[in-house]
Amino acid sequence: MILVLLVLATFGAQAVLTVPGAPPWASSTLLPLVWVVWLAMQPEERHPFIVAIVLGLVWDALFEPVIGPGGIAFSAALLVVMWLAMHVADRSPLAWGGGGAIAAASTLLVRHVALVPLGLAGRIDAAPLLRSIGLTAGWCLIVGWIVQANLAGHWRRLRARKLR
Amino acid sequence: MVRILPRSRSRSLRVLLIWILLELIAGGQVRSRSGTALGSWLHAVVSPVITAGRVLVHGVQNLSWGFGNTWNLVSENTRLREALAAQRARTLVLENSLHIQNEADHLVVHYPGFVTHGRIETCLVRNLDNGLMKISGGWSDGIHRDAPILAGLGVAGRVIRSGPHSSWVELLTRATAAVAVEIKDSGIPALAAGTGTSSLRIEYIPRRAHVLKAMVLTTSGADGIYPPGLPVARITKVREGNGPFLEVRATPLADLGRIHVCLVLVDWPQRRPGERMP
Repeated sequence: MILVLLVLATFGAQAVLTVPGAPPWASSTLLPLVWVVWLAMQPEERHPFIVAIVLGLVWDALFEPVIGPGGIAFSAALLVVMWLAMHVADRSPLAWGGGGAIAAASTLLVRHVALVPLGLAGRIDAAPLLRSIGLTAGWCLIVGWIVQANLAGHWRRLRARKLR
Repeated sequence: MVRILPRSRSRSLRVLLIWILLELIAGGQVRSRSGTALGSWLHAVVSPVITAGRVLVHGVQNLSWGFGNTWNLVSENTRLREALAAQRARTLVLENSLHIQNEADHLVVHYPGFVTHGRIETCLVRNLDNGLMKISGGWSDGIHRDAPILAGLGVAGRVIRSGPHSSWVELLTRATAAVAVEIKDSGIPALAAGTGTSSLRIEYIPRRAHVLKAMVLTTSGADGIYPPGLPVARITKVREGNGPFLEVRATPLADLGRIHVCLVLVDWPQRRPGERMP
């Protein structure tokens, strides 16, 4: 339940980043992709592919004109990052950041390819692409650091100490 | 994680199918001037099949038309070949008839005195080995046994058996045939006998007679069968033997191997012995 709320919060934050008046670079950050990286880092997750598709479809429903390409792009990004996670044992924040960069690149490219048959694909410019990759990687790096720092555990221990 | 990754072919196929389904869902949402993108895709997929089907049907139609035309051509060619063969046969028959007519005219020119007393008949069967020939015309046409036969430049033989519509002729060269002849210039009588070959044996010519090669023998009428004065043969060989007579050989003037028509003397006017025919 907490995870669902966190996912919804992520999409809410993404929506905030895309409101009119926000800085132009803000919408380049793909916040929900951190869940894709998280799914790839969790070997115990049973249906990561379906979850990635659902995340992509929600993305499409909120931020895209058509529903479908986002599901393809998110699931493809998941497969790429999972393949990398199989060969790289590192789960450090840096690995989170790298996974976020690769997931962002995969998502943007696959989404572009998926939009081509629909006649909706535009030009791919290197600057927005690199900016999006960098911001998403930074976002994932932060989340990875939080996960590694186990802030939730520290918070629970602090609460327990106060209760005594 | 290893279990979840689409390693196997079925999992890859499943992923691909899901992606295709998502793309189709997206295509159903996109609108264009010609309808949805999904419709365009379906048209793009179905159109080549329809075009290929049309081309196939057109090709089959052309092929069937080609076969039909070829069959018509073959039939027409067969019909034309048959017509050509029939035309050639008719031409052959006409040539044969013309040849026969020419020979008949030739007979009329050579034997004008016998035309009113004879019949021109065609040769049906000829066998020079046994010296027999079958001609059209029998006793119903007035042709009876012993009727003389003229062909080409001379006597060919006589009728030995007469049927209702055909007759058998004994040629001069048959071994049993004989004609009373005389040397045309000197009038020396003799007997021309068949030998079973293409030549005749001239008998009973005295050793002192004046006989030379290339002399012509004519019928003498002494046998009562052939009218006198008809050319029979030309002497080809004269030899003095041990006997009382000369050994003389002659060749019939009638070309027995090429007879097509002949003149049958049905009712030739009887003359006194030695009297010449016109």
